[in-house]
Amino acid sequence: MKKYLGKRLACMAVVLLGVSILSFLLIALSGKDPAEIMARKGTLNATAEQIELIRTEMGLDRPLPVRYVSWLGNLLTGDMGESIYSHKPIQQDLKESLPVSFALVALSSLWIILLTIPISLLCARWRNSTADHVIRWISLAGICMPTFWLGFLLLLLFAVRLGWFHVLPDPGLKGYLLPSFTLALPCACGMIRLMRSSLLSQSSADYVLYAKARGLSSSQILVRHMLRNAMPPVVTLFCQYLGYLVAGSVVVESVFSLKGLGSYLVNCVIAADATATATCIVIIAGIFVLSNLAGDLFNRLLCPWMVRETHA
Amino acid sequence: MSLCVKNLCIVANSESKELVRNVNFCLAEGESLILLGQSGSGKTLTCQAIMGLLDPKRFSIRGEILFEGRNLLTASLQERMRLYGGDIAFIPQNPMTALDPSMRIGPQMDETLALHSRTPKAARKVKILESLSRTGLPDVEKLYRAYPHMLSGGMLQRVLIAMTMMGEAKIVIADEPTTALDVIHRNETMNSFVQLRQNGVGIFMVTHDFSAAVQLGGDGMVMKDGLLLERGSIHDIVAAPHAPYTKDLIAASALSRTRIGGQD
Amino acid sequence: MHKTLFKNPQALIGLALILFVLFIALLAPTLAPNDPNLIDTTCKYLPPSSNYPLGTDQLGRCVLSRLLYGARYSVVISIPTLLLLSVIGLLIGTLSVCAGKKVDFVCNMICDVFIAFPALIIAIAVVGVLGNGVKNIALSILISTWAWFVRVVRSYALTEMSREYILAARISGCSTPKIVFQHLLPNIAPQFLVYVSTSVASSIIMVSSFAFLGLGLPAGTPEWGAMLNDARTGLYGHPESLLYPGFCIFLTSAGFNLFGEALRDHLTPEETNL
Repeated sequence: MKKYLGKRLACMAVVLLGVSILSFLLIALSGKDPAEIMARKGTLNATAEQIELIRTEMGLDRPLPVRYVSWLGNLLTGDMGESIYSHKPIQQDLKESLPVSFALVALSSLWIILLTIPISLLCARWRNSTADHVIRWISLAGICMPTFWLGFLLLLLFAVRLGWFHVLPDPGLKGYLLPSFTLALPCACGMIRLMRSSLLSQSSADYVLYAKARGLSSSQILVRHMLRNAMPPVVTLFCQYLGYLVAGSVVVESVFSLKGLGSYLVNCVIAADATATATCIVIIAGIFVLSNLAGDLFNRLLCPWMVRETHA
Repeated sequence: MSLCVKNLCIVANSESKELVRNVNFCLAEGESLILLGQSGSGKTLTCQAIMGLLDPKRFSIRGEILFEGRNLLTASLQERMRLYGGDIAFIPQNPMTALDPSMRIGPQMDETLALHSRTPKAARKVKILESLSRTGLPDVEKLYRAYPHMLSGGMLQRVLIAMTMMGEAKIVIADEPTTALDVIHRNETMNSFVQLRQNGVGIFMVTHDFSAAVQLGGDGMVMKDGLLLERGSIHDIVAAPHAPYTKDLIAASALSRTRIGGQD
Repeated sequence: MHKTLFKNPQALIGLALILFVLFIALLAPTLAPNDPNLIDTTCKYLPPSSNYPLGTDQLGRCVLSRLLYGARYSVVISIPTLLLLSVIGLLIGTLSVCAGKKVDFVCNMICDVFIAFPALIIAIAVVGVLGNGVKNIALSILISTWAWFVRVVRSYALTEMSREYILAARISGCSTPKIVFQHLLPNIAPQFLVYVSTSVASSIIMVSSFAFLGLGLPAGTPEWGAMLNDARTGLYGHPESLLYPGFCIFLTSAGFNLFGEALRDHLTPEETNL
């Protein structure tokens, strides 16, 4: 386990390094000159000298690798520079937008878990029943749903027709209910489909037969034994979805007018704010890498026999 | 008679073909009965029918399977769940895959025991550890906390045997218990079965392994294409087989025995 | 084997939807009753009539014509991109498996880096860098998803290469290219097709997400996602303008998903029989 963890952490470090290089290249090669944008923000017809001055001030005249190292160093120490889009330090912008995104993603994850586990257990227990077929079709429809359309449909139904919510976000938890459900539903549908087939693939395992011979009922076998063994692929997918949730929040935040990391990122892209864009991207990619690692470790706790299988 | 099978017929619904035809036998506690035959002869189906493991959507079962006078085929689900894993225990073919790989051995045994007895948890653990050590397994406290993948096939087989002991099974149904084991573990397993029988347990074993059958002793039956061809004491069957099919089986078994180095 | 596939209603519905969208995309200029971009502020939000079968939007443009033209963006961007992605995936994926452990390790690492960026995020950034344009959208989808294709092909190829028949072919003297083209590619092609089909569905959703966010396409483009964004002002007064474009995206992606799923069930029947 320790050896595995070491190897895994080393790989993760390399991947994170790659992620930061790629994000940096994205800004550096964007063809847009941050110094010029900065200068023009101050005075509309900035002279070449003024631009040059700002360039030296921002350190943009140094070679790429040097700029990369200083950017990464600043990023790691928490000094991310000033956003061209908001004229505020990026870390301050993040302090405002990250909690919104985290709340959204956390609540969505909760929805996903609450929907996936009971529904897929129901499908596996009464396989090929009417309920199972209905759920299969609904979940297929769910993965075809564009989140922004789903969001509008929910807004139409719950905010416009029924008046339970406001179109602009309600304060507190209530404001997150619809956005998080919108974000969660397509993922939950994918998860239900995977979990159902993962559970069904367990049903032909020898241990299920022997558990029956030990006198356990079908439901006991399903909940106590099959559920746990069917989890690993589902956990892996869930952790990948966490990355998507952060990404998908870009769209959902736009539908529900929330001010999270996603809308900040889009605004930065539109404002050609390269530094802030790269910082957001690194954060999102970092969350994705970390959540994948967490998923792997969780699987190992859940199913200790996997350790041996992957080493063999 | 503890277990009596009367006119057992098993039909596969998809092909409407009789896979087991008119099988009759009885087994008392403290005796052993061995069902011999090739793979595909219907012996595993017979086993699974007794244990209630056949999917009713795929197979129809006719006849009677009586345990202490009660017909298992018509008994309520609750009644059957109480008997299986308690009075009637099962030893599956491959001990390596029989247990849930993600659950420690102790809790898995405890789960079975809790279903069949009202003893408190602490007493159950004592009983589990005791039955594990009765099968000759070392370091039972450590075993209790081990995962199945940490144990060898032979050790797992003994864990399964310990499970039948802890439930105080009256009848043990064993489906090819030696097939997945190497020769040394096979001998140990057969010795455990002999020990079980001496303790008054009735053993119904399905196998194609004549040497294992001889080691256990008792009565034998030979099955081909779902029909019982001959029956009698296992030593008589091996010494003087009547049906040509039995002769072929014994010859094939002897051949494989010489191939693995003449061990018995 | 293909006969049974086309008896499956799921496959038939999926295929019918795909063909329907392709048909509309091809014939949009002939089918559309009006110019999709003709702004006429005198006829805002007209109800359906013979001139405007689905009415008009907030700028007096014909909704039906815009919907029909919208099919072009989804199809024109998604399908060629997916073809290119398939080629890249098959090429790098099989090369990585065949070229030995070191190359495979490095390749896997690079894929890990790219996969770490959620597709939508990297695509947003790429569009931000490169600016608007259909080509740039296609390119950003390419950059954000190629690693997934390589990884999928790689995992299929790894399982296939460990099969015994490949070993047998090797022992009997088959060269690596021969094994790849005669045994590996034909055997992974069907599963890969499933993946491609479901990926078309997600790339269609992705394209319209960009347009919805106002990235990649100029304002006023008759693209389904962009139409949804335009229609959000009518959330209270004209909800029907929100329904149509979303439903088009839904149907198109459902077509590819249904077909892909049916194909998967068809290829792995044991799973559905369980």
